[in-house]
Amino acid sequence: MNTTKNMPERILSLAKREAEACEVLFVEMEESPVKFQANRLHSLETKYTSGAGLRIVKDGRIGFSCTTDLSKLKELVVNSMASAKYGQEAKFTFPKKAEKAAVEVLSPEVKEARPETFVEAGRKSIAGLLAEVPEMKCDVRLTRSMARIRLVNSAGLEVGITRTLSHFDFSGLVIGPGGLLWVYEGKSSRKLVLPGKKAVSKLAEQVRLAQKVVPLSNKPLPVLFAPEVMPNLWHAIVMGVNGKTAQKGASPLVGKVGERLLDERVTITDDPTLDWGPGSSPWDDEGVKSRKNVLFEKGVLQGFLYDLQTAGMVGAKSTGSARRSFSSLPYPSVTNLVVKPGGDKLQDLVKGMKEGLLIYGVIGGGQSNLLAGDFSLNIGLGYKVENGRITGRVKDAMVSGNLYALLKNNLVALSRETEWAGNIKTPAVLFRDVSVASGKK
Amino acid sequence: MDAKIRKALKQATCEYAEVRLEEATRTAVTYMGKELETIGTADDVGGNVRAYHQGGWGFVSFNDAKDLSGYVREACRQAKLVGGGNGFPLAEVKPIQDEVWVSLPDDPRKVDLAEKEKLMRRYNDLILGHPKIQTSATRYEDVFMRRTFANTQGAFIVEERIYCGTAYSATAKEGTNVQFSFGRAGGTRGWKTVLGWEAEVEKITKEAVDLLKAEKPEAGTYTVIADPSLGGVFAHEAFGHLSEADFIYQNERFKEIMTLGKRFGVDSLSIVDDGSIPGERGSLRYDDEGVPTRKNYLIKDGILVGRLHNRETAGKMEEKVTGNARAISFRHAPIVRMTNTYIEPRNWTFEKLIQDTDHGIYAIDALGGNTELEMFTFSAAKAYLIQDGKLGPMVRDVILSGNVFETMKAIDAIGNDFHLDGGLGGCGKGGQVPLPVSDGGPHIRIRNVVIGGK
Repeated sequence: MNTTKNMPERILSLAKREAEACEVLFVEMEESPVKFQANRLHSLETKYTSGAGLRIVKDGRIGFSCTTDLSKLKELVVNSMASAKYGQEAKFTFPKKAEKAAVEVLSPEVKEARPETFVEAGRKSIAGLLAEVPEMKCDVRLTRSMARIRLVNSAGLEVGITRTLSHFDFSGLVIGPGGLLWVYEGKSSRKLVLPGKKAVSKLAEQVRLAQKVVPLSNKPLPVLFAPEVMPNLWHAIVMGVNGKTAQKGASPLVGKVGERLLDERVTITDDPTLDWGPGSSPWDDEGVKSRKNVLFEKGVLQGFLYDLQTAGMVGAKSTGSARRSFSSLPYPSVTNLVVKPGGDKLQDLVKGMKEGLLIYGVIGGGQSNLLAGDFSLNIGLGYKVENGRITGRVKDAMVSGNLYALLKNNLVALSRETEWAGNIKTPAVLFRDVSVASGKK
Repeated sequence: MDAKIRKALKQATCEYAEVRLEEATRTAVTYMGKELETIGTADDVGGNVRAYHQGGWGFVSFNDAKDLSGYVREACRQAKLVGGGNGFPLAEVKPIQDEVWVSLPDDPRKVDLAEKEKLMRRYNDLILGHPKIQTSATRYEDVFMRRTFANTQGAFIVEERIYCGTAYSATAKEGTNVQFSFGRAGGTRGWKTVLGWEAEVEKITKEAVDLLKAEKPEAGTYTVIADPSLGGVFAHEAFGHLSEADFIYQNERFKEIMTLGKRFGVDSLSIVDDGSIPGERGSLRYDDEGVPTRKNYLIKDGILVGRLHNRETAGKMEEKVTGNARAISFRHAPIVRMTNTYIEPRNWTFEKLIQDTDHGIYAIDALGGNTELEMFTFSAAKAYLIQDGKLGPMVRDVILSGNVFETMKAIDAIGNDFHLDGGLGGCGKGGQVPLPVSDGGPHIRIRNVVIGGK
């Protein structure tokens, strides 16, 4: 990749002739997915990506363009100049020097991993699950990726970093007594993650517990949401604390910093400085030092997440939360959302339920007015709990409510255990009186 | 470049290999609230090599095609590592040599960026003009794309396409009550697609404000009249994905569920996927394996009669290819996808559908749709109660869910109107989103739909 060695600098020097200020993000990525379909190895892939994003300021306005055609750098500059004619007024200056947060993001193990490692892990985990559930059909996707990112700007900033990411998705499908049953496990980390024995026994247990379908009536019930499904609900917070959503006045949290909006057991942070977190990085994607941002402290809203431009528009400071690929302007975003656990064991929360639901999988996250906190989720994998025992699977039913209202008034407990689900680390959460609608009598 | 592709393909060391090259230029204008968030043009070039060997695939994608021969060798190595033993041949297709050039009287590439910005600003200002509107999102997009496809069996196809469309939304807010309404138009007909939507923009703005006052319906089971957009989402999301052969070809039990000849609905129910209709967002001449698109009946007169294939699934199931192998870009291998999916219209007028329903919900368009196997969940964008055969008050947060097979059998009346809809978004599957598709049909009536709510 010698030809790309000075690429960001070459683009910057071309753009400097035309613009007052400019910035180049240059990304080179290699991604290698290994895919199993219906228990069989199906494909090996390699994806090479290289592209540049150019952000400029011309006559005080922001212009942007990007390209993957590195033989047409002049066109890239012309396109960003055309964009700057209409672009937003720049409310920031590019940072000069980048301080670096101490965080591990490059795993030599992921970097060096060969396809055979993933093929082997996939085969073993499928064989393990088939030993427990012979009629299971498993689809498994294991991916390693490595991205080399370089960011330079006309204020003199020059940063370069290589980040690794490892990811797997394991889904299994059986036809049970109540129809199709789908179980799922997935993990992402900058360290190597593979489906192991723990994942296999968890999925096998989920299938065992689903062998009987039990009826459900239309009435409010206590509902325990497992960590695996909580991201569907936390997404309301992810959107609500976004500084851009707030700047537009669309977030329901606007004007409420300092107010206690949630139960005091709820503390939520965004932390890009967690070693190996899937959203971790020493800088954000504008070169601002990464830092931990507390979003809710004991139920009290602490603030919003900003990139440079959004912060400038509202008179705040960047929280180091800019995210982007080379193909887009930066925008503020959650990196790793971390929800503080409670003191109860998940098992004890189940035991303590007289009549309620335990939900591991939902269908249709993000379709209600989730920004307002409203959710309405079809239960994909859920169990009825009676007198502290799981009595069977529930089907054709929906749970709905408002996350903010539930977190304020209906919170029973947060579990002691936490799990990573995507870039969210969360405990299980038990609410009382959640609306349940069932299609079956 | 043609000679380079042919030369690279000669390096193939396995059963089958293909090369795809793509050039795309995208122009977009996005207003969010008062601010112009994105404006401009960007280029994306690249390609991929895919290789097949005895049931196994290799795939290499890249931006720089300089080492095309090397990529062919790499993909073949991968395919050989995966395949072997239990392999089966890909379905046979006639290798086609063809060129499909875009020639539109109002090619959006000929329209100035200034004019595109002005049009979006006009729509956006109409939304923001209403006092209860908190924010807006107004987007324009055109994408010009040229794909070159060649394989070791002699196919060589160049196809150009131009997508052009707009999408706009209004967010109304009162206290913590935030409501949202939207509209869109998109296809491959050119610049005219995005013109003249002022009245529609005003309508959705008023609807977002009206939603602030709407109540949630009581949770329970309702008769639902679905408008063409929501019916189309149902046909696509709930049923269409189960008709994609990659869902069933490796699973005996799904094959059983989706056995051709089985009854899926009333006699008047027919569902079609057709990529060969001109001008729609899901329209294309050749799919990404070089197979011509065509009209495929999935359900005809209530009976399951077909499914969608790529060459792999058709080969394995010993059925004919249907022209449904598609990839969102050169970064992905083509998989079985829909194109333009719709329910065929019949004879019920909209008025008669409403009059004939004592108690129910008129649900319009979908904010989102999702399925997990035979279970589906859709949230209606807008909805009205139907009381004693008349349209009643607006209701909000109408989330429909159920079992797709039961719900299809519960469709008991099919309208005489028809609308296909593409917008700017598309379908997501296997990490590939958004794939340009359209869906639609007439108004339909569905009995016994579970609605979440209060």
